[in-house]
Amino acid sequence: MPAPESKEPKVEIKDEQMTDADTVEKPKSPEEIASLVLNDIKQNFGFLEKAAVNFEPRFSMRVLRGLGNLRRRLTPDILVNAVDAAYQSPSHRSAALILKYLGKEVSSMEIDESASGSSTPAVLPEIDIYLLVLLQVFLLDQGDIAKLNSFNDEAITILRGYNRRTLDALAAKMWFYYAHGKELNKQLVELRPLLLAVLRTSTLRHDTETRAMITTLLLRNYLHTQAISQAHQLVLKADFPESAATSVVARYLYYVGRIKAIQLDYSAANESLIGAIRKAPQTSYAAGFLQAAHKLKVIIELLMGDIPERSLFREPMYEKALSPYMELVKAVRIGEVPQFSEAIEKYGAAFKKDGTYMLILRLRQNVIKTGIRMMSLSYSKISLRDICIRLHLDSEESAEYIVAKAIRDGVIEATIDHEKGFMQSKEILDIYSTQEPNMAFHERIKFCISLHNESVKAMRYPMNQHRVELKNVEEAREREKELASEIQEGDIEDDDGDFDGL
Amino acid sequence: MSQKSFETRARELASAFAAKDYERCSHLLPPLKVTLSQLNILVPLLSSDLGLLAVARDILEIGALTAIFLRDDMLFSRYIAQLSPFYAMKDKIEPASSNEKKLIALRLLLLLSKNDIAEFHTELETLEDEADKDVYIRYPVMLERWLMEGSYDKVWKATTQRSEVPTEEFAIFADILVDTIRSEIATCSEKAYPSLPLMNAKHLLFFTEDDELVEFIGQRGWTARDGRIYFPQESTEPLESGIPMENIIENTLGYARELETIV
Repeated sequence: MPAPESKEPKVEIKDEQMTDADTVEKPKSPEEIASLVLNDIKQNFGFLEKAAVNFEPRFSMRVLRGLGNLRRRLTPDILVNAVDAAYQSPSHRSAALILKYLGKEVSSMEIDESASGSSTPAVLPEIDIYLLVLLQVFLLDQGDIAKLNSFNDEAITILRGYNRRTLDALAAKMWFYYAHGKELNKQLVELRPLLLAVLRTSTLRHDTETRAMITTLLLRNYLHTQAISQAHQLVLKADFPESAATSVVARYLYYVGRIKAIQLDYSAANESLIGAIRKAPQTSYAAGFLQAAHKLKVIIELLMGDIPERSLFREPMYEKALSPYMELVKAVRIGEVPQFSEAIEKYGAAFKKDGTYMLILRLRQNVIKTGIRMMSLSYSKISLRDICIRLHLDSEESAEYIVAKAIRDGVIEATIDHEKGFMQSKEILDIYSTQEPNMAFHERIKFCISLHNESVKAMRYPMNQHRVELKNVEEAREREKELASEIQEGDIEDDDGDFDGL
Repeated sequence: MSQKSFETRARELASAFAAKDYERCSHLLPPLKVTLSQLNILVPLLSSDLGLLAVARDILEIGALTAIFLRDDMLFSRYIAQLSPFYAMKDKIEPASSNEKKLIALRLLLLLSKNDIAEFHTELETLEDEADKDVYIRYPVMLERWLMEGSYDKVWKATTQRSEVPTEEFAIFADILVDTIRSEIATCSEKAYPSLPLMNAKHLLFFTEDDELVEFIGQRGWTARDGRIYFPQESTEPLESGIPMENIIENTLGYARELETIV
């Protein structure tokens, strides 16, 4: 099973390059960097406040987008300072919790406490949760799974104490890291009841973000434990909120594609994966996800009898990850069974790791079919014996059955002469005299239209803007009316003028 | 409830099964299952008595195998469904089941014989590594591969020759599978050959008696004359059917509607 999180440290090489570039650009002392990061965090507090006050999830999303960049620069000191800035009093429940897990006991903050006085001003829940998420990320990067999990348990209790729609995006993120921690701890099955319960609450509360996130987490959970039928049931029974964050939608589509592929519904799987790839963030952060999605897509295309574009394998982001798949594609394209078996032999371990091994085994028949098709195109008449030798089949008898099946499946247009033991190809139909081009054209138009519709849906519309527009429309209509009457009048005059001219 | 009588009855069932008295097994099973649910171990939970769970699992396994011998597909599927939670927590139940792989392989074979390929692959995906290694599971997997690529002769050999079939339970499916491949071959032949000598057809379709072939020809609606089978030719050429007007009109109207929303 590949790990298709968009933000997991799967692409270490890329990450290193990025940090290198950062340090080259601005060679600064650690203190300076620390203060910069702290400033960033404080700025984010401002955004969160705006989000809460204006009920505008866009700002929270923006803060979360910066998380990937921020997490690499976090240090305990920065976090302590951030907590200091946010809570004012370290005796606050979350503050105490964070400090405990940072290994900084409250004692180090005593001066501050006396300064702020005994009153504990309420902290904005958004900021509270944001800091907790920051610490989750920090602990995850530290690699201390046990610590992360025990922190997660406490942080989740705090989260579940809140019920605010402006928290949704942050809450979803927190659940993500919560589930990730459990997964690293191999507690997948134990996690399920809790996730299902949260899915119910979030659905009741119309909490789209959490609902979408939990659905994908559950799917991942099921697929990880090979519970494909449960995953399929979940997809069927639970509505996925389309309006969720795009990265979550992308992940959901990937899982759906996987399920469909396993259940042999290749065209649906392909559609889901195209969606997943298109919706995934096209940055190096998402390289792991994109690679996994492309791997699966290559296999599905092969299973459908298509050959993936060569250019895909040349892209630097995929070149290395997809090289085993390249070998497969080559074998399928020319229909060479031995080469195909060799590729499976050689890269079997890699395919198993990617979770595509079982799908790849299904490809064998496609290889044979392509082989037969190549021969049918090249020869007008070929003996079954030769087919048998070319395809490395065990017996002529097998060859006859296989060719017969290929004819029935519409792979080739031919007949078999049993007594003389040869296959005779029929004349190749002129494809332009069939419905084929029409259908292909229809497919493309459908694709373009749905692309357009999805783009329209993906656009953001500012709230209450439609009222202003309504007013504008009214005015416009007025103007149009005036214009129309003017034109009418003008028309007559113009006509007259023209006639005059004649 | 008397735990003792439960255990004696469980032993009674095991001995009846060992003696291949499947009728008796089918009578013993329902009351035992009632007891299982009374003891709260019909559905395994982490809180259940782990020692008893192994007994419960063995009972259900016998039930599943009995269903196979009695050729009751539905019953078998139900038993497998009841067994799957036991297998899901197999690392907690001691001793490990010796029948698990066999039952899963039998289920795969059942799905294959029903031509439910999607379910077959869903089930197979849960096994991943074991597909190549386990003797039992290998069998349905290879059959499926051969069926898909069209090596019907290999399927024929694997299902009818005793030495190729892992255990007697698997042989029960042979009849169904032979019917499946025969009808597959028949549909393939209709497309692939214009005509075929009777003798060769008999060989291709794995018939041993001429009568069987004649009956089969009747069923498929083929015509046999002068010692050859003539397959019904497809009379409708797609080219001559003209332009599929309705389809094109429908598509074009669709485009118009979509374009209207855009402009």
